[in-house]
Amino acid sequence: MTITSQQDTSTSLTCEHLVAGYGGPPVIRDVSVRVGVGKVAVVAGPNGAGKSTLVKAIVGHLSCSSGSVSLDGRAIGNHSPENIARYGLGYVPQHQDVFDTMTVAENLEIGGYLLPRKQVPGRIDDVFSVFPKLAMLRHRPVGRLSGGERKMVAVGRVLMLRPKVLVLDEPTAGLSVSLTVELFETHIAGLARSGVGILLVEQKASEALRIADWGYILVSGEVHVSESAADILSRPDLGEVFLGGSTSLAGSSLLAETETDEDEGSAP
Amino acid sequence: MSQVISSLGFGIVTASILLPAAVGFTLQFSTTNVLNIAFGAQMTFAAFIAYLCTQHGVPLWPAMVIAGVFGALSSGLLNRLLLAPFQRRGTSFFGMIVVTIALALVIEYVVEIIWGPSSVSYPLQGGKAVHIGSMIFSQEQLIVIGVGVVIALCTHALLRYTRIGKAMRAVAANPALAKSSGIRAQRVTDFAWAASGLMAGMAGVMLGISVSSVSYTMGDTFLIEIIAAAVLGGVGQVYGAMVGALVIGVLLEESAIVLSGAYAPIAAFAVLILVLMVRPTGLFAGTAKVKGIA
Ligand SMILES: Nc1ncnc2c1ncn2[C@@H]1O[C@H](COP(=O)(O)OP(=O)(O)O)[C@@H](O)[C@H]1O
Ligand SMILES: [Mg+2]
Repeated sequence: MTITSQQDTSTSLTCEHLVAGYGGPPVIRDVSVRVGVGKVAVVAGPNGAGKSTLVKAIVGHLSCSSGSVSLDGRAIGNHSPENIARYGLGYVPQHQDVFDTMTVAENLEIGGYLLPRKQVPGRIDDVFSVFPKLAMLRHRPVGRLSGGERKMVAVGRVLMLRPKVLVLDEPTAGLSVSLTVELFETHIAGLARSGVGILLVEQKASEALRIADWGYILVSGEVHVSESAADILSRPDLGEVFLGGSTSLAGSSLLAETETDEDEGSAP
Repeated sequence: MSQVISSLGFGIVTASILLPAAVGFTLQFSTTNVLNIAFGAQMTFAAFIAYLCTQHGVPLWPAMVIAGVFGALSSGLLNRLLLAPFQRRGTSFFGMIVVTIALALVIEYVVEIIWGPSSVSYPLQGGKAVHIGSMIFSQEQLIVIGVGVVIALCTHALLRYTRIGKAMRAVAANPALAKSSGIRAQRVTDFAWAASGLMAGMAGVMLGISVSSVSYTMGDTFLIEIIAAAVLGGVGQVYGAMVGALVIGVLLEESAIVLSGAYAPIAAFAVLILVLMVRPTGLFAGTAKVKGIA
């Protein structure tokens, strides 16, 4: 799979020819993706395509058997998740994206674990100004929040360190349409404008592609499409099959893999 | 009636020993997912270290502190050098239990080789007994209670207010996310094991004081009670373990009124089983199956 010159700006996160899996045969094969500074790249694809596997390999939760990952020119492939967080790569997992037994404020404190202690309260206030609702819930255990509120905590936690690149794995699963739109158009687009590179995984990606610069479609562990977001959105063949909304998939050759159940991706 | 109250006194003492033990056991389980069968043996070893100190003229309470430090160091190293490598290689939950069973046997044999099979005892002062209502406590017993309460308060402060304590809770709740937040999980679990080793060591000495004998199998019998307290509180829940320790400790001693000697634990465990039939997740675990220190 060749990578067309996606961005003319400098590249923040680059993965080249990644191969990774869970000990058996590799789940993702020869996957290359890039995120430019302040750009949004979307990884779409059916359930089970290997999107979460790709993301886990990037953030250090899975080891890559070959290929390379670099962040701002630094090779980070197969580094520990602890170190990758230090380098400025933020990660919001698809599942288990918060600390359930801890309060909202404590989740954010853990998000700011690497900060000098004095900076933490200020950063928490910054997160509260992005998600005002969280300020009112600050002493509430996260396990007792609604899905949308939990997602705010999950995103808020990762913002505490002001990452250079943010990797979000299906952040809208379980969110209402209006919350999805708000997350994309207000928060994610806003972060990108402030210079954060964003790798956004979405199973049904048409919403996400509207705020994205580039899109990748992953099928059975390989990149099938790598094009500008606008191009992907204008291709009717892709829209039907990969970008969601439509349930009239009968007859599609990829039907077997594109049944869209919301959840139940991978166990950690 | 007065018998019930004087047994309550014993119950409070037993609960004060169970408290650090059950909390330590629970901390190990919640941060590393290891159900440590060797916990009782850790207590025993530390109790003998205190005995060794007293033999060399160290007063009992400083000896208890030394035993606690010994427990902390050995427990932290145990996690780092033995258990973590097994887990990294993907040893299953039950595999880890087997490892800790083997460890318990090794520790007990080592203790038996060094100090022999017969029990020993600490030099106890006795001192003036203190009457509180119809409860009677020796001064040593009062100190044991005090130590138990202090350990509970310190644990609370550690988990709620310190950075390392919050990191422990984060690792317990979601290890992968803790790592992705930059927490060095291995160091945090080493610390958690050291803290629980401290509690095991103190509890071992407290138990030796309370039953006025120290033998190489003393930890075994007590382990059952620790597990009962931990399960009653909802496995993995530190605050639940504290309450579980209180309930089991008191029940054990109260049941001694009706059931003699060796049969006393039966009543306590009957209650445990009853509670679990009604609330399988323990008294305090929420209905949601959340893992971690709540
Ligand atoms: N923990 C795991 N162990 C083994 N196989 C896994 C694990 N997680 C996911 N897989 C497998 O990897 C493939 C890709 O899964 P995943 O990356 O979660 O897909 P996606 O996120 O695109 O839905 C699936 O076939 C899945 O069964
Ligand atoms: Mg997934």
